[in-house]
Order: sequence, then structure tokens, then C-alpha cells
Amino acid sequence: MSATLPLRCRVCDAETDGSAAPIACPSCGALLPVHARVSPFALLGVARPRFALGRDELERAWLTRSRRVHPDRFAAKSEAERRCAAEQVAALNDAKRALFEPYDRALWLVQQASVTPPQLAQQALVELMEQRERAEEDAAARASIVDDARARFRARLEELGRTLAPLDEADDGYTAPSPPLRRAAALLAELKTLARLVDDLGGGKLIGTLDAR
Amino acid sequence: MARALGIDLGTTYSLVAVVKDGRAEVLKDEHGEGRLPSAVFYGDDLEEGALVGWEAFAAERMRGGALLTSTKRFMGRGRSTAQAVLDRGARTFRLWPAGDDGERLVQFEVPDGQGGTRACTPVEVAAYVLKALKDRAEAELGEEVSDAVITVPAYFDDAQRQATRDAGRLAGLHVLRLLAEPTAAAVAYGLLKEAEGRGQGTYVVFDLGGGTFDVSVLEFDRGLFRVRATSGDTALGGDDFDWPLAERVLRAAGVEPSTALPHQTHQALAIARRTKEALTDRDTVDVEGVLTVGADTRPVTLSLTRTELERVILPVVNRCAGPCERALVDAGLTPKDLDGVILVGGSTRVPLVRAFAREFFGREPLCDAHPDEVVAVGAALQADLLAGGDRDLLLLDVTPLSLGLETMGGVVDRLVPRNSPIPCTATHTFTTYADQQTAMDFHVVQGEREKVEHCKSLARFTLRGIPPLGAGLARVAVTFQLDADGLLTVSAREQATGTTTAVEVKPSYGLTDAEVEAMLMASLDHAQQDIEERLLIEKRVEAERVLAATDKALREDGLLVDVEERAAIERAAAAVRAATRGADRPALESAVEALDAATQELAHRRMSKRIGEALDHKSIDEVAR
Repeated sequence: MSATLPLRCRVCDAETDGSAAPIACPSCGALLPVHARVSPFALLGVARPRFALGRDELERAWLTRSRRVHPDRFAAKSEAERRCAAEQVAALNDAKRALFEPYDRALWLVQQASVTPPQLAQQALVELMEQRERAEEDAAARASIVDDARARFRARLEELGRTLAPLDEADDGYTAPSPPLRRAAALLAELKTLARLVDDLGGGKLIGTLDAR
Repeated sequence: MARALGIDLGTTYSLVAVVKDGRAEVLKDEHGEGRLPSAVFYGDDLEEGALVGWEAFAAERMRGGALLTSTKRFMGRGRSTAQAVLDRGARTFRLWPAGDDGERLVQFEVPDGQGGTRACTPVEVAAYVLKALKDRAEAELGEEVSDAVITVPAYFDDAQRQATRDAGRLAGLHVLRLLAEPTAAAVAYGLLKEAEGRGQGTYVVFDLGGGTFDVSVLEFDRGLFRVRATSGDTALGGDDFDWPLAERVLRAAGVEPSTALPHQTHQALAIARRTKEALTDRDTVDVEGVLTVGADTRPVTLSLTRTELERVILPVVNRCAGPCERALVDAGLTPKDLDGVILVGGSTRVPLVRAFAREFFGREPLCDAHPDEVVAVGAALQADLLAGGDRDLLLLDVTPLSLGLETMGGVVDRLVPRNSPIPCTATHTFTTYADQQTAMDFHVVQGEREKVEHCKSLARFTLRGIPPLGAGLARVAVTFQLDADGLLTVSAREQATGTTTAVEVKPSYGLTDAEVEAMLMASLDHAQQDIEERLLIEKRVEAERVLAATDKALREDGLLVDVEERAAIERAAAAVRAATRGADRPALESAVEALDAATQELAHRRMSKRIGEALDHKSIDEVAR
């Protein structure tokens, strides 16, 4: 995480460290491009990757930075400057998309540490399929199955928070695979399956980006 | 400062507005009318192009030719859409015989002015309308104006937006931005209310025009406009109210609607429209008109009560419910969370539409925005900002439709979910599946359904130049970029070797880049001008814009920089001034860039000064899911 990501200013040629997602070149003030490997946390002003983050905090960071880099602010500037602004705001919006929902944020952290989400346990899968069948046959049971799945979703999400809390506090919590991260990956697989069940039964999307994977 | 226009390119009417002395104003024609019908007439004996607007309607009554109206419905859409309109019976145009790639383009058959016929695209029709508005603005302002913001329905997909942009280019406009119509309306409305000290809250913009329906949920707070969610239907509008009434008119005159001639259909639609409008403030009307049948001119009267009208249009109005529901759900809100519902678009004058909005959102809708003009006014405000005007305004918009790729079995793999803030990017990595494979095919789609055939096909593209490696060894990262206009570009890079692979995009609907270039070359306005010369002129205009902005910043906020910084800015500005007098484009480009860099810090300080306090107040309520 702490590795420097060198960026070169297109105007004055000075080299800057891009790892903290700087907006402008410190020596000449020109807008900088975004390093391809910059962390979405850095873009949203969070110093170190962590799971526990408030929506308000992320939202405010996103708005503040959007105001500075939005291409509308640079419409009267040179083409290169406009390109940088577009790149900056696109990276910012991508970071928001990756981190705003707790599920997506945990997924990012898990993948970042090269932990592959395990398959859902055979038993759990069978159980889910049975519930789906039951809901399809018995309309009366449907509502309670959806409610039950939602409650389990919330419980697993809370467990995810408890599992990752110690990593948030460690300096290098998310740099390498660890037992809590493997547990988190298993929870994510279950969360996704529950969300899919709820969505299929017409209960709405518990994960906004459910289809994007 | 160069002026920039705000253009509302509507299905039935279009308008142009511009900011004068800090105020946005809709420009009127010589009769004091702001609306220009989006109608183009191609006459049998009109060698020089075509007639636009009211003139087009007048000409159709006098002479032979083809009158094209409501062609926005076909922008960026396939031939089957146009065929469906003909099959329904509204025969206002003739289709040009399909070419090799039949579905890709809608083409109308129009007179070529020399006794024959030729094909014409909706893009060309839109370009005529845009050109007429550009001419109106230039006559009014007494100077050449080429920069413009053009509005599009928020629910327009990539192909429809691309077609609008192409039309702008053909009309000789430099399109600064494509802006969503409800967002433009919200800007005009929000800034108006702000002036009254009430510019905050969460609003729904309910925009029912002639041919399209949009519903957007926005938050606004002191110059910050943020779209939370948007939905709509690009084939739902006031036009759909007219056809059932026009059918009655045709039958009353003894004409079978499905075999009516184009000019008879236009006449019947005009009577239908007048009847609908008359019923806005009356309960029963008798509207008289004439229909040409053979050599006869037959008088017809359409007698209708409001109750009858409402029975006819109710199924159409009810189609607004789905999009309204989706927009609220996606924003995570219920009607009681809203601060207001703003009605936009001429069709919201219909009492039944108002009643629908009132009932759905459980409150009296706000009607204090001018439903016809508010979109153009918002576009002009945004245009002024983009042209370098000083306005504390920031629009954060979203993409209306999810963007995805076709995968195995015709299933959509979604890369960007709908209502994601734009601009944004998405990258997917693909590996080769055969040894020595050097190319890969992709199919990009837009829409919310799981299966490819239910989504809108945007483009197919082929990646070439993949280095020949063993199966699975070459990894190609494909990046999709949605810009602030909501337009998509695709790029690709092979990761093992770092080779940039070529992307050949073939649009599923609409014009290819080559076709647009050919049309540009064919139009007289551009043929003589050397491309390099044009680029240099554009660069000079840009340089002047930057210089004007710099002067203004120094004049207003000169105290924000110290003596040294000021000297550096002035040196850089002098260099730009010198370069604008030369013909060396790259030199001018780098001088402008150096000036940008020199003023960056000043711009930042100015912005912090002006909007710092707005953010301190900003608090977004947590939305329970």
C-alpha cells in the first residue's frame, strides 16, 4: 500500500508520488493524471484501506473532490487539462462505486489481498435451492422466506464487520491473505447468494452491483 | 468571452436560449414565438436544401414534397422502430428501401429537388432544425456562435446521444455538452428558487414531452445539482395522445387511417393536437379543420369531451407509473421524502397528466417553471458556465442504463450499473481461448434485462493485434469509458506485452464515423475549409477564452495571489497572446497549457473561497435500504 506510484507532470516534468491521489502538480499547479494503480481509498481521502467507513464520510469526500476535478470546471482550459479532469473524475466515480456499499468494499479488500472467494458450501447451496423451490410453489410462504433471507443478510453483514474490525486497526491488515480475510470471503459468497435469492423472489436488490460480477 | 447557446432539441418543438448580462433568455422569432417546430419540409422543386419550422408546415399546404415531423423518435434507432410507426397507421413519412445492413439506419424517402428522390436520415433532419436555431441566435446576437449545449432525454441511450451529437456537428455546432433534459430543467428551476432563497432539497422532475418521458430524482443545494436516479421511456409522449384522435378525424372524412397519405395524416394530427390543447381548460370542444381528399378539400369537425379524451389517453398516461416507481426505488426514496415535483414539457399541461403526477407523488405538483422554456434556459446556463462564465454551478449526472457485454449463452455481463455517476470507466480482462489467437470479438449492449436480445445493441467490435501466444496467456484489458455526455468509448491493451490493440467499433444503429465525415465533407459549409486551419481557429478561440477567464479572475480576486504569482500569470498570459498571433498550433497549445498551470492555484483559491461554506452545511441523510 505504501509503495510510491510515480507520476510525471505533463507541463513542468516534475515527478510526484501518485499514491495519495494528488489532484495538481505541487511544483507548477497543473492538473495531474491518475495513476492506474492508485487505491480507491486514497481517491476518497481515506489514508489506509479499511472496512469500517461511514456513508456520510465517503459521500462528503466524493462531493468535495468532485467539485475540484469535475470537467465542467475545466471546459475553458486546454484539451490536455480537460482530459486530466475527465480522468480524475472518472477515477473518483469508479472509487465511489467500488467502496460505497459495504459488500463491494469488503469484496475489494478481499480481492486486493489475493484471497479468492470460496464456493458456497454444498449444504448451504442445497438449502437455498430448496427455499427457492418452496417459495415458487407456495406463494404464502414467499414473504416469510424473503424476510428470513433479509434478516440473515443483515446478520452476515454485521459478522463481516466484526471479522474485519481487527484488520482495520492493523497497519498492514489487507496486504496478505489471513484467516479473517478467508472468513470474510466465505461471508461474501453467502451474502451474494442471499441477495440473489431475495432479488429472484422479487424482494429487491440488497446489493446494488449484484449483476456487475 | 465567446457566447454559447443552450438548445432544447425537442420532438415537436425546439428552442434556443442564451445568457445575456447574466440572465438566460429564450430567443424569439420575428413573431415573438420562441418555439420552432421540429419539422423539415423537402419540396419537389426545392433544390436548395429544405424549409424548417413554421415555414415547413406552411410549405406543405402549398406545394408537393415531404414534411418530416417528430423524427427525434428515430434518432439512433433501428428501422423496425420506424416500420412499427407505419404499421400502427401514422403514415407521415415514407421509408427509403433498406440497404445491405437494413436494421442499422432509419432513412426517409424525400424529394431531391430535381424530380427524383433520395434517402435522408433523422440526423440530417435534426441538423436542419439545429442550423435554423443557430441562424436565429446569430441574427439576434449579431455575431457568429458555434458553441452549444444540446439537451437530450435523460433516458436516451448511447446511440441516441451519439446521433444527437452528430446532428450538432452537421449543423456546424461545437457541442460543448449533451445535457439531460430534466437536469437542465432542474438547473433553471433550482437557480430561480435559489434567487428567492429556497434553492435546496430533493425534487422529482417529471418531464413529459412530445415523444419522450423522463423522470429524474435530484438533490440541489446552492449550485450543486446531483442526480440521484433517472428513468423514463424514450417512446412515450404527447404524440401518443394525438394518433387515436387523428384516426377519428380521418374516419370522419372517409379516409381509412392505415392507407391515409402523409399529408392527410399531418392534417388530421394537427386537428387532433388543437383538440387536445383546447380541452386543457374546457370540458367540451368542437374543433374544425379541413382534410384534402383527392382534389377535394373536405371540412371536418372533431367534437370531444374531456372525459372522452381522458378515456382515450389514460392507458398512455398510466405508462408513466413504471419509470416513476423505478426512479424512486433506485434513489432509495418514497414520495414523502420529496420536497417537490416539478412538471416540465408541453404534455404536462394536460389535466389528466397533472392528476397522475399529483396522485402518484401524493402532492400538488409545482407548475411555476415555464414547461416549454425551462429546459432551454437550463441548457443556456450550463453553456455559459462551460464557455468560461463565472457561476457557482456543478452538475453531477448519472448514466440512465446499465452497460454490459454479451457473454456465453446470450447473457449480459453488466459492467456499469444504471444510475452510476458519470463520467466513469469499467475495465474487464479477457484471456484468449485458442493458441496463437490474435483477435477477439465483443458485443456491447445497454439495458436492464438479463438476455442480450432484450437489451439495446450498441456496437460490435473486434480487437486485433493481440500478440500470438498460447491459449490463456494473452490477457486483454478492455476499458469502457463513459464521458460527461454519457457517450461510450472503448480501448484495449494486452497486459502481458503491453501492446495496445486496435478496436474497430461498428455501431449497431446510426451512422459510422466515416459516414458522418462524408456528410460533413458534402455539406458546403465545411468543404472548402482546410482541417488544419479549422483546428488552429478552434485553438485560438480556446486561447481567448482562457485569457478572458484569467483577466476576470485577476480583476475580481487579485488579492488571492502574491506579487510573484501574479507576475508568473501575466508572463504566461503574454506568451499566449503572442502565440495566438502566430500560426503554430502546437506552440499555442503549450502556451495555453502553461497558463492553465500558472492559474491553477488561483482558480483553486477562488473556488474554495466561494463554495467552502456551502459544503460545511451539506449533510446527506443516510438512506435506509
